[in-house]
Amino acid sequence: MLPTVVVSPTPVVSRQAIIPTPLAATKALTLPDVYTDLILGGQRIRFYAADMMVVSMSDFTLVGQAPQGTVISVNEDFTLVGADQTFSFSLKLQEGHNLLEINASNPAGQEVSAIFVVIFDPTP
Amino acid sequence: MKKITAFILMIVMCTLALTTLEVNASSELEGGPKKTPFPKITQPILKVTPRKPEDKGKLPEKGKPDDKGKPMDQARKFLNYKGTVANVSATSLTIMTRESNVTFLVNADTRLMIPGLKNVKITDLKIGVQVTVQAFKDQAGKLIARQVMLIPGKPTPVHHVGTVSAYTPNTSISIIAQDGKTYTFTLDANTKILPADRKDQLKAGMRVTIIFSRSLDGGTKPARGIVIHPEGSGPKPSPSPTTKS
Repeated sequence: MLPTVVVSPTPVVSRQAIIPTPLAATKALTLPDVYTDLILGGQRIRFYAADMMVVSMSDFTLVGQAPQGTVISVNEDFTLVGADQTFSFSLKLQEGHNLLEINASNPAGQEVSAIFVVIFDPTP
Repeated sequence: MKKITAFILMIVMCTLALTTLEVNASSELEGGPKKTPFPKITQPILKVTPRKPEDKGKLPEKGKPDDKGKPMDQARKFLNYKGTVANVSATSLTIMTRESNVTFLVNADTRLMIPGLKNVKITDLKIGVQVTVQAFKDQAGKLIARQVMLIPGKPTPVHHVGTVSAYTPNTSISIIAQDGKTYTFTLDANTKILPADRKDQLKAGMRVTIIFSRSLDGGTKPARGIVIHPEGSGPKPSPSPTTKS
């Protein structure tokens, strides 16, 4: 069963499921309409997640889009965005509030960062 | 007279017999509403699972008994808040959200999280810091803090882009960054290098991004990863100003 993504502030609103796990599959799936944009060197980096977002499963895949060559790190993990301009991070959430520290940089040396709190609430 | 009474009695009996036949026939009609037989209950409806010793300290899940075996309060719904600390004491926390001030009761079960700190006490939170709170309402309608997490002001930059000036595999890498300064990072066998197929090509002169961990002692930073950029990437030289004569 796919996790239901809900966005705070309250009242919570049900959103579409998020989970395009294999990177290649991200294009085939409809991405949720919840996203956060960061601007790096005039170019947009889009994360399909939002601060205080509530999910109902502990396995959470953070997906997004960024220009090729962007380096993105989420907590201890990092990735290099390839030619398909997408990225994904598989995260194991603890019950309750989870801090995601996000950094992104481009080959020119510019860097941008953000903090998301993602809430794992298994109760229906 | 007797004949008339017997005739009336016969008519009544015939009417009764006909009515009974009609009722029986209508309940056997095909396509009519069918009654679902009441399901047989083979398992107890309420299953109470006792808490495991390793779960002690955690809040009981909805529908399960608490540590003392008492039944859980009705469907516990968690409420999530984000705001800045307006007041804090050993037993309560007030935060200022976008809408209003919200006060929570804090108890021994409240989980406190401050990144980089262990054995956190509620009084470690200072007024003005940003926090998130997960809470639930007790039977009296008071908000009980289940989890309080401090949000760092802003993530520290952990990427460094530059040109490799020295590289010793599994030992160290030095880069000359945009600001002209040289930065050195320690490496080990676990340092991830991307793209993996270019790992063996890493050498001085290449443009890389170093992803590093924050150094607690302020000394040499350990690199968590290295990203090798293709040749020609990086800042484009700004076009030289043209002068009009």
